[in-house]
Amino acid sequence: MTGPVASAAGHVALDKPEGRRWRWQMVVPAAVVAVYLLTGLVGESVAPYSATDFNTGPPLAPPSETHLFGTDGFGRDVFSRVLVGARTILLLSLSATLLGVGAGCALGLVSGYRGGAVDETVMRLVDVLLALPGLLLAMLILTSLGPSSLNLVLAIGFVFIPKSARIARSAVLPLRNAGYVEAARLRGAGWASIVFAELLPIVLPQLAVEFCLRFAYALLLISSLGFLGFGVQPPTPDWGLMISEARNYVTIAPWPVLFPALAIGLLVVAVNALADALTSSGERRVEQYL
Amino acid sequence: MTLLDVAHLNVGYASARGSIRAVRDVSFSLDRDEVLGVVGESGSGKSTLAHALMGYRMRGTSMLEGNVTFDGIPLLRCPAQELRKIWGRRIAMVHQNPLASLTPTMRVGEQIAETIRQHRNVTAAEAQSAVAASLRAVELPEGSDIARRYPHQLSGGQRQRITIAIALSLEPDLMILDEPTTNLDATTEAVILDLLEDIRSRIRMAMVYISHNLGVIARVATRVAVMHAGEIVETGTVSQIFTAPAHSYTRALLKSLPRPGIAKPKARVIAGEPVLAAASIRKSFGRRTGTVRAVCGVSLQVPRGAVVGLVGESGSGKSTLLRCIAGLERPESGTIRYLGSDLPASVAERGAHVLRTMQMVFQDPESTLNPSLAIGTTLRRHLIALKATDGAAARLAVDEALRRVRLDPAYRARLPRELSGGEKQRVAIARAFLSAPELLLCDEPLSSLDVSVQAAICRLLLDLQRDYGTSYVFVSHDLAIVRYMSDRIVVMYLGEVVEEGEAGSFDRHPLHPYTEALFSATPIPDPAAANARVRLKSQISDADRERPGCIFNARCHRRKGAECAEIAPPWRDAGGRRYRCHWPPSELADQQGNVAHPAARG
Repeated sequence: MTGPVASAAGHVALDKPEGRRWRWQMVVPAAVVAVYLLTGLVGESVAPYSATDFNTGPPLAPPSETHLFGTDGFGRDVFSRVLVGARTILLLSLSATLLGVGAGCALGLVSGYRGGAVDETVMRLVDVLLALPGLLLAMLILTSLGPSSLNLVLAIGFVFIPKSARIARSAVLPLRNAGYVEAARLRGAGWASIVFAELLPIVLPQLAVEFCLRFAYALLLISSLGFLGFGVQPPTPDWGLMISEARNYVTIAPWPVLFPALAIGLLVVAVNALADALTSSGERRVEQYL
Repeated sequence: MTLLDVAHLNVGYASARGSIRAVRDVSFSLDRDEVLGVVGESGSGKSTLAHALMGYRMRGTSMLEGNVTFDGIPLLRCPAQELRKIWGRRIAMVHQNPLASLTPTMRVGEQIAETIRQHRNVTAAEAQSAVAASLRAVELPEGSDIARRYPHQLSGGQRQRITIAIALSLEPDLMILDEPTTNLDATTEAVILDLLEDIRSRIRMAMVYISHNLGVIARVATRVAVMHAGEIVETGTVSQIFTAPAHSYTRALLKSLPRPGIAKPKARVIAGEPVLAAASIRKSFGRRTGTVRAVCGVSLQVPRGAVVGLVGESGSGKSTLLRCIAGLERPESGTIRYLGSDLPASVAERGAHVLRTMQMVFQDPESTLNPSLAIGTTLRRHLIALKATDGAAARLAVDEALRRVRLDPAYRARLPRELSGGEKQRVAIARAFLSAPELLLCDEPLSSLDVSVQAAICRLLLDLQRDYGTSYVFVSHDLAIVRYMSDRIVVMYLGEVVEEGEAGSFDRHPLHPYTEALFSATPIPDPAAANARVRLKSQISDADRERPGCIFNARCHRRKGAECAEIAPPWRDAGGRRYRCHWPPSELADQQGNVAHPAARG
């Protein structure tokens, strides 16, 4: 066994290279989310009326040129309130998701890598939390802490921890005995550096998907809590709260309910579609490894 | 009479990186009794060819042109309905991984019957007798409950027998085998190859046998086609290919094969205290069925500057022993002395000096490098963790390390997925040599690589060993490679050492019957060499660990008598070698004398 087959790798050659193409499945939802984020940033300055002023027009006026989405029972401009409300809900749900998914994933990664008693303890606690419905758990926390934006973020973040921990743990389990992990152990790396410097970059695409899905769920949770009166307090324009306030007149004046509901619905669908697109691009990446 | 005629076959498929033409203008024909061996490296288009021969469009196929005529039927232009009648009944296929091709939730006997029912109208009783006949054909014990087991309850060799039984169940005209023994131990591979040879002599059937291993091809094929980059570069009879290869690629492939009896020059072994001395290492693992003793009281010495080869089947405990030395597993008992001081059991308790001077190369090139990090990042991290180095010096050291393993320093910017398996293993070796180690632990670093790549990596490892004077522990299931690489060989079986000694002395003759079986299982790339037939019929079994007497007793072909089952065999010395057996060396040699030993033929 002397001579290697020098550089004769025997691999089949590529006939034609194919560039990375943008796919509409990714672009369309990303564009929609971008519009929402932009609205959250500049909504207040482009809104035609103040979001909290009463009697900007007659109460329950139907959509018209002066009031694009009509007015609500107090004569407030629904269009302005939807625009300004974007910031509230985006800020709250993004920070709640960051908190919950961040803490949950960190917990799951460590628990999955370390295994043994650590893993067993964390996962049984997660089981207990998962047994409670998310909305109920959030309401429970909010009633004991009192309603405020900070408590809302804390409550929803807490609700997200167990599921994110499960996802991160299952992502890291198949990797814990990989050669590069053992190589890191052999050069004296501790568990924290292995989890966050070696394993986190690999599972990041999976966690990004989880982030998008949780974000969509946070939007729904905040709207639901707002509707039930546990979330954002009046007069702050909040989509869920707006629906709740206007629901009594829905038969005679549907627009103060319809437009915030549409705003929530479209954003949730767009974020979910983005999560789907991320998942399939992750799968393509996996195919490339094979 | 021609059974299969392939003319100007082209197959291409779309991948994420563009469209790939995997098979280019392939033409050949196959007679009814022929066995065509298709040999080539991974990525040469062998498997794509195998599927195209059946008229099967793999997912992502973007081009399927040319003619494949099977017994007068143009398969590529055949409607799917007709193809389904041909597949299984007239053309059968055996895949590389039997666990993936068997249904995990179905008893294996039922899976054989399913194939028969698919193509023939049979009663339950007829199906049962056909299943029994198929099991007989692959020499699985009939009276046993094997047909009633699920795939996960069978060993790798038994599973592959079942897939062959399924393929044989309808007595096809053509059987396509795609690397059927690649995932098996050498000893199991030898038994499956015997079986295929035997089947071919009994049943009139053509075969296309695909393998990257020329030694295997030499045993089974009558004609050989050499594939390279999607093309067939050479065809000929087995003796033509092996004695007078025409194409330069074929010659290079032949030259890269490990042949028994060929060895590296002896290393400069420095006398005195060994680098590593492990004594009475024990390690067991808890399983649902009870604890399994993976390593039972093994002692191992690595002289300074020497390569110690550790060989055995899977389940012999050789990797576990290596991981105990590395500190990745904590042995239950035993001591390890390293560079003159006692070594803590766990890697976490070991000092910086130990971490720096003891390095490891892992088995699977796919998982040895972090897929999300550039090669340069991986190497720099390793370097900075082991040596306090600043950024600029680290960069220079990384470039130097890549050059040392004959890779372009530009590779530092690449991700592992852009590298071939051999290149990944080179990077892993570069990582190990960043800190000029005293001891390198190699855990089957070659077993998932192609034969020609194996040869290059072997040479690289030996060059580095000579330049750095590093001592190696080299683990492999391939006795030919271990013999090539090592100065000392240690043979392990079921967690115990059964034979050890100077590597050179193994050339003359094996002593322990297990070593003899390992030698005999090595496929030899020489069609003229009828391999000595020492076959271990039964499977390696955990139950044997618990019995009194010799652990090899249940599989031994040279059983002496009652003492083998009752009394643990003594260590016997035989000129630089020692082994554990009830037979003294002279009597063993007498028995083995009439069995020609591969190395003896040189």
